[in-house]
Amino acid sequence: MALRVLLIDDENEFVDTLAERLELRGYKPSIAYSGQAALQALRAEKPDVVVLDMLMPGMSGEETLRRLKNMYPNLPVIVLSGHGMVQDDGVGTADQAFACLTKPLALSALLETLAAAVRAAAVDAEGDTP
Amino acid sequence: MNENQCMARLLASAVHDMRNILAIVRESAGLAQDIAAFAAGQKAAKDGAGLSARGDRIVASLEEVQRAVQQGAALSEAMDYMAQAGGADGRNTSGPCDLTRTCRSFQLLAARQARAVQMVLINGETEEPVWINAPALNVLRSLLEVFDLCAAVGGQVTLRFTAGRLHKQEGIVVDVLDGPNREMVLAVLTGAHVLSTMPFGWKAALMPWRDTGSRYFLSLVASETDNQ
Repeated sequence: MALRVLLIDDENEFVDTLAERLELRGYKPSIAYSGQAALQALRAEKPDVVVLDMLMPGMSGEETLRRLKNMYPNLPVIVLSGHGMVQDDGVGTADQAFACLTKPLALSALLETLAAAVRAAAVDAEGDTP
Repeated sequence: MNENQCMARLLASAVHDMRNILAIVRESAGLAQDIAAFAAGQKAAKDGAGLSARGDRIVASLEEVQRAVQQGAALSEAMDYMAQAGGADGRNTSGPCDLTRTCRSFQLLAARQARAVQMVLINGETEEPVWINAPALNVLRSLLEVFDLCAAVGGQVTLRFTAGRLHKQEGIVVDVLDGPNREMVLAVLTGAHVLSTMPFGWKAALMPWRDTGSRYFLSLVASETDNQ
């Protein structure tokens, strides 16, 4: 079954192209251009993994991440941002995210991280089973 | 907000945008590569041949774009480091700083100026970070002064900067490697001793490394006296 990836980024050109490339590789991407739109999309369908930008107009990436984790604590989130200091932003983004990556990123590196995030989530889910 | 913070904040903002632009270029070129690869696969299935010469040229051009994006990403990383060193996020910039990362950033940031005077800057990698209790901007400043000393006597030399220690003191090992102007550069660095452009409260010194003849140790210490 195709891996469902929710891409949250206000950079339309970037995220549209990334979605197209993921689709060519058998993924099932969906796009939200804002944090608010992402939360609506998440209420409709839970993806397998989320790729999240940090600096967005309106609801910030940090706030989106916090709300998203409230909804689905075990949903893996990969932060992909043009801001280089996400790992040490003082608000715990790195603790909540599966990985913090910096743009521009080779697609192969993103694919590896997506796979690792889904594997880790599967292991977590097994651990949660009574 | 001081002048450094002003420049650092604007630089950090610009770097963020630069990374987004590079990301768009990378993904767009990547999509074109995907489509070209798909077309090549279809053509091979149809007539057993690969892409035409023009198709191969397009693929090579897209690979060149990807390499340029990688270079731009490395440069953005160095610019971002400089912005953080200048206080872009309103953090304490008095140190400590990672000398390995500082050397790597300097090598990238000064590369264009180095080419103009036919100098090559090499970053000597270390296995572990070497931390010094000093502001990163002061370290960059001292490296720039070493660079300027070499450029002032004609450049044309290869310099390698490596984070290291001498007598348990952290600093930067400066190796003068090959180049037609090597002797002049060695002479000016041997006579430099105390660097002159450090801000008040800091002293940077360039000492010959034992008796190797082409290696120096750049140290940076807080000083209560004027560096002059």
